[in-house]
Amino acid sequence: MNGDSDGTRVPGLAEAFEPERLDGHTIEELGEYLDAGRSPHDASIEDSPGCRIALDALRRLRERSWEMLAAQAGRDAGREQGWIAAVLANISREARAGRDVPLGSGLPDTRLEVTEGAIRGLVRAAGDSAGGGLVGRVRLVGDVTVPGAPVRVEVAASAAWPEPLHPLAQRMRARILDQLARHSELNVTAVDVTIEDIHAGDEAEPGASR
Amino acid sequence: MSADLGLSRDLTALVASVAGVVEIFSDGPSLHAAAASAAARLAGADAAGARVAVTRHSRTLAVHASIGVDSALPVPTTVRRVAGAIRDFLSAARPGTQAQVRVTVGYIRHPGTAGPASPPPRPGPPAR
Repeated sequence: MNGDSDGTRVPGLAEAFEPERLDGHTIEELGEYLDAGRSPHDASIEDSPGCRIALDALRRLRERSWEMLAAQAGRDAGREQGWIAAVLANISREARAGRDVPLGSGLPDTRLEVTEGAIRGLVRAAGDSAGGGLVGRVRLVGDVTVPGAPVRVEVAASAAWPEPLHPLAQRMRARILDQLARHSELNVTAVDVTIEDIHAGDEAEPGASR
Repeated sequence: MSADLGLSRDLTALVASVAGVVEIFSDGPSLHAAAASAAARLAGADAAGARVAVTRHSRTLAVHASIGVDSALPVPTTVRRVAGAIRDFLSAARPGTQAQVRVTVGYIRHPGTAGPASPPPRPGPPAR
């Protein structure tokens, strides 16, 4: 692990040389930390907003994907492992702070903002909460740093067979729009949900994890 | 302990007491934060509990709080409360001081999300 106990670590610098790391930690390290019940307390992880976003996404991925993929893993394990690896890479990439998304303050000399990484985490959590599918990738398209600028949200997701795809996409879109309206001031012009994978778990029921 | 370190501790306790705030992150993405931390150590000061960055630029005080919030409350509401609390505190504790306040939300906690195994103790709000 790459601690910052000496107080001299500069987040962002390590990623420039080790792009697979999130504030000095690989997604595998974060998975092991989650496995250990987040104990003993690791300040270099818990004090990183990006790592916290990734831990939440990892926890949901494990809870939902194991249910969703268990029946299929034996039949097509290679494909599923590839899908999970791609989602893990996206979680790590999207959890980075990214751009600053402004909030109106109404006060002089006061700047309020939410990081793009936190917004992407919000979108991922909202999509996952729809049940019957999992978010694989999130993109915010548009200049999120300019108040009122049009922003399109692109979400790629996976569905659990035999989940009806159109209602699943509609549920994801509705939850994402609701959460963005509640927690941001983005001018969201569209939420495009694309179901890119279907996982054929024999025991899955439509909306079973809802 | 420097005056700014003490102010940082007071502001950290204040921000932690605002409803909806679940975490205060060290002001990591800043070379200045690392330099300030190193300076505090050199001065023999304990930087524990001083997570809100306080820096001076000429006669202006710059305050930056990097926080995690709970999604049970609208994020803009929580952030504005934090900024308002900081402004009110500075007006009372440092009257006449020109201040620039910045609040950044880096993490939004969702329902059912477990916290750290052993979260650091949260100090109570400072006495003004």
